[in-house]
Amino acid sequence: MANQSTFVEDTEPFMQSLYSTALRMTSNRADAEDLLQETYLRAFRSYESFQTGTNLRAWLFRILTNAHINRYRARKRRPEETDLADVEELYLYRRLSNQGDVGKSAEDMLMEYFSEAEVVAAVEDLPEAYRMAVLLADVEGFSYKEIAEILEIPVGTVMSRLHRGRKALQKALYDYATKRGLTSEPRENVKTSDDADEP
Amino acid sequence: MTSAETHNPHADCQRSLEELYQYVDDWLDGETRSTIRQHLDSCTSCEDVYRFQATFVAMISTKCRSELPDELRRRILEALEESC
Repeated sequence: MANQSTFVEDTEPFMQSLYSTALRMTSNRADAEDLLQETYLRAFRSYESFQTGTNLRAWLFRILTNAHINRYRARKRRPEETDLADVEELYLYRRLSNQGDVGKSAEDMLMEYFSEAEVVAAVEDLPEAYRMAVLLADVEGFSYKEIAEILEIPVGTVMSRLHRGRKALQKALYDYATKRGLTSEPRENVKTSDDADEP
Repeated sequence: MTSAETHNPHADCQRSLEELYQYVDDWLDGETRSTIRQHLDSCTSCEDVYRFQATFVAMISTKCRSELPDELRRRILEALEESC
């Protein structure tokens, strides 16, 4: 059993990453702040039920996710699924590999091609179930087993949501890049293509 | 482009992308892991795909973080003190 007197000391190191995840879950700073505060108060109240020596970070993320789901269910829902039927495997890899930048691998291009704002927007646009899996696995680095426990779903479901989430993410990012003309044209033509696409 | 229809860029490769992700995510047992490692060592196209997917995951992680505002941290710590 954990002792409430050490709660702040024990949990403060995780506040940063919980906030970051809360922000991606809610897509809104004010909601993320409320959600984080609620998470900490809930966690504090039930801290005596936490088994010392078990995974505190996962326990906190489970409280965060549950608090979010409770709030979220009371609000307007976003679509739960997204149509990925036309998105083949290795969607982004194949497209970036076909760009004519000599001497650059598709993987080199990844980091340069997408801005933080685009990655954040693409993640926040994912259907809820996929977004949770992607945030917990790719951003927070939890294992499949930890995610299964946090979200209270089977490991197989974690894997398929993650797989689909990453696929949807690759499609969304490629769409952004195409919209601003970066991948549709060779570099020297980017300007013209940008002008044409300007809203 | 025939390979675009299959999961893998290499026709002889039986590994699915899902399994490659499990490799990227360090989920596989030691034996499967080393089988895949050996395959990647000898198959350039799969190795490329592996590095790409691993970089993709790393990119999501790097570009998706936001700083916790100091003011929020203070407010939460104060709220906790009040509940003590």
